[in-house]
Amino acid sequence: MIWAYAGNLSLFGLAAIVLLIYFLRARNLRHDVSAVFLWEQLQFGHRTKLARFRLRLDGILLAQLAGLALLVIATAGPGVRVDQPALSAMAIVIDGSASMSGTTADGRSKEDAARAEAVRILETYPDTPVTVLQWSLDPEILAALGDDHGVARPAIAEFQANWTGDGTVVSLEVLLESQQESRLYERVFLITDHAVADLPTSIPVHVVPISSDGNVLIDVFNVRGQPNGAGVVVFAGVRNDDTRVRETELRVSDGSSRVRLPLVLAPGERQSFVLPFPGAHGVAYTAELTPGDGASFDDIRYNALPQAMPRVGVWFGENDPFLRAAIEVSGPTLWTEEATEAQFAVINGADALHALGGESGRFPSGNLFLVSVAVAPDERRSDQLTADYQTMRAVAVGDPILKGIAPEQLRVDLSSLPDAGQGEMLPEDAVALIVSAGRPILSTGVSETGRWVALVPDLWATNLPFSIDFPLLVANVLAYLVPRVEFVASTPAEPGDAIDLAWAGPEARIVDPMGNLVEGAFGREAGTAGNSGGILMVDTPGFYEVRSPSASVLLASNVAVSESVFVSTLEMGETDRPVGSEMGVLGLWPWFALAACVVLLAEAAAYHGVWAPRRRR
Amino acid sequence: MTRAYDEALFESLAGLRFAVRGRHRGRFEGLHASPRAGVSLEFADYRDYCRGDDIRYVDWKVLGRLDRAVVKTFVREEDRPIHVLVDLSASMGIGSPPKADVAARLAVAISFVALKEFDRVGLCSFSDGLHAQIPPRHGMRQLARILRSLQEAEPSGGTSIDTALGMFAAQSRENGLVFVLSDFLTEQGWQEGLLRLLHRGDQIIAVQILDREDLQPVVEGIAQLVDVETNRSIELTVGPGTRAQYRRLLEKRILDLKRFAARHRMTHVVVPTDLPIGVVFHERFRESGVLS
Repeated sequence: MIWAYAGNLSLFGLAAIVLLIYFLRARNLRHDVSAVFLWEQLQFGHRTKLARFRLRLDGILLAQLAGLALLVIATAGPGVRVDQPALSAMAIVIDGSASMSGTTADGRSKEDAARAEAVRILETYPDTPVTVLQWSLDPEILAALGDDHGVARPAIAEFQANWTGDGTVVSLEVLLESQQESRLYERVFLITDHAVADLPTSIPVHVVPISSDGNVLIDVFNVRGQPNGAGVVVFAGVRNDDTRVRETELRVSDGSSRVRLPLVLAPGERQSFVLPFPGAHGVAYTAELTPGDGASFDDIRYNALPQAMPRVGVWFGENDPFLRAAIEVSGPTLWTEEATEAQFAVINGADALHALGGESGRFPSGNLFLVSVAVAPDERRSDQLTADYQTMRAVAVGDPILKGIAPEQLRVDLSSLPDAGQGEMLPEDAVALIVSAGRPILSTGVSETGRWVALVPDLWATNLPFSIDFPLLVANVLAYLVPRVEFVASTPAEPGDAIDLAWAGPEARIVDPMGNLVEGAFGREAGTAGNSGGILMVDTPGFYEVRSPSASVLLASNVAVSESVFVSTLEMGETDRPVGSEMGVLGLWPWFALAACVVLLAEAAAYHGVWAPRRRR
Repeated sequence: MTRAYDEALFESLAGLRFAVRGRHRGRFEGLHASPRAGVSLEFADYRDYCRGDDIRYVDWKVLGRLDRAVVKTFVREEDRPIHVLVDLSASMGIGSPPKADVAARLAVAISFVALKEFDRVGLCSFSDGLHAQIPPRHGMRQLARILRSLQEAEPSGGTSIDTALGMFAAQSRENGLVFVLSDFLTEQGWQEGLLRLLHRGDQIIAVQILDREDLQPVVEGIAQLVDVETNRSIELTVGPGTRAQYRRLLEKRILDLKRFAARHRMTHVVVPTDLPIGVVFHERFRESGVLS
């Protein structure tokens, strides 16, 4: 038997009032008799002595209690399962998002509750073809549409929530369509712990709600380094979504040391903190609430400081330690001999036209930084410079490459420049950024294979190496040439996100938070949608480690905060009724109410002596 | 106390007559045989003729056959005083209808029957002593007096049958037919009082009026039983077993009275309150020999 309003069974406590009235009334029952001495001559035994303290078998009292019990049962909405005619087809959609890994209001696992509801639906419609779907940002077909419930049951038993967020309505429709047309489902049972808005009216969706326990969560966790390098500052927010006051402790750890913050949170209260962590070092930080609760996924959050990945470069031509140092100062750089793996190439002392045209086949395709364009090596020596220095001038003010640069402070020996015109040194579509005496000093352009920047004069024919603008200029040039991800983002990812790891290089290996090597993150066959080489699909909260030959980088991943927003079943809409209340259940409350009326009428009749034996004459 | 009396009851009682055992001297002429000789239709004896006897009573056939003059004597018929003693103690106020009401109706009916037979009827109410007393008299006006007396009376006080009957025996100067209307539910006994009447020569009819509540109490569960006469109370749980035990005690008490009456040639009649007066007369009184 199932109960629609099981809480009403607590009304059985009213029986205490009935008993109290019974005893109070009996205590004051006076009865006048002609000869009390006859009653006094009775042989008193245990049946007549101390009777007040003993509940006697009183028919009227029993009738009152029975009537009350029947009324209470009727108000609790009893029902029994009944066989239903088979449906044409139905789908059981189980919410597989991270929130389903929590616990229900009665302390059960939400996954267990969802499995039980799914099995209940199967039992209610034993002859209906069914498909079982797991619905989240990473949806899955657990059991294809078929008549055999022997296939659906193991699939339900193996159901487990993942760490991704809630699925979209569109994905639900796609899931259903993958089995058959949506309109052909006679019933779609959606077992979920959250209210779903904008459910399509074309699909007969019946929401089977899963309740949620009270929750305390970390909704914000961020870490920033101190400007002076002394530790970090932690930004954290803790919220109490429970109806009780909760006492907990926030612990922030860098792996070796930690700070603690005791908290007392009122119901619905949110507190945010700026927490200094002076002794912290390292890049990986963890915030954790102790003790945790049923929804453990939001009791712990991960964050990593921004980390730089080395650029991969290849050097052509004569080495220049000043230029190389300026490049490495702008960011860690991994120099390689393999031109095909490089993100950029430095070509010192080459003909721009020749380098960009790639006629020799020696230079790589891609992004090029050209220095000392068309200047013969034997002409590029500082001791050969004359004193004919001219001031430079910016002609493309506002260009990102010139950000922070003051060209008027720079000088160039014009005599070191070749006499040939720009058209002979640089491509025709080159854009001059800095000129001196009408002659291009710094130009940019785009070739068929990538971007290029050309510093025309010999470096030592300028005062650039002695200027504080030189490293800035080099950093700006590299940022222009390699505009893609250069630094690991400081915002943690969420399970279900796809992260482009092309910057890590093909040799990189990824270790997931469990310490397992992620298979197929690289080296997947090209053409696989969204999973070409260098794409990581995050599926677990924690720290992913990207190990490349040059460095190791940590990526933080947290379950989406939206997964911690539970909506109680009471707030759900009209279509969110439990399946049991609408179908497959025969309500018995009218029968119990009728029986209660009959019993109470009989009690009233008995009280007024309707059935008392007639007196004989 | 207001009680109703219907004409139909009196009509049904009109032809009845109380049976009087033995011959008793009366004060006035009546319909009951007296030990004295007198004028009536009932032949009594012969005696020798004496001078002065009325020659109409000389038996001429005996004179012709035996040559001896004898005269016939006849039984004298005199009245028999009927005393109605009504218990109006507080316990008689219990019942539905109250036992006192039934006793009053019964007293009026007995008086009516007696007065119709030219007997003198007197009324005496009692509880723990004698109260109103109406001396025995003839005539229907006596019925009105009895009726008025009963209507004005209210049940109250305790019951002491011995005392009351003793006082009655001392105060009443002539014996007769004594109806004692009571529930006989008293701790102090009734044997002595009845015996005193018996020794005085009264013919005693003990009418025990009991309510259905007395015979088969319906009290159930936890109850405080209060004696209306003494206000003594007892608190107990009454169930079927308790009620059965009570009924056995009451039946024993009724049986004691019945045996006592039989042993002393008294008449004992049990009258439940829900029994109509006419049925009491035509069935109970006739079966027990109260009526002739």
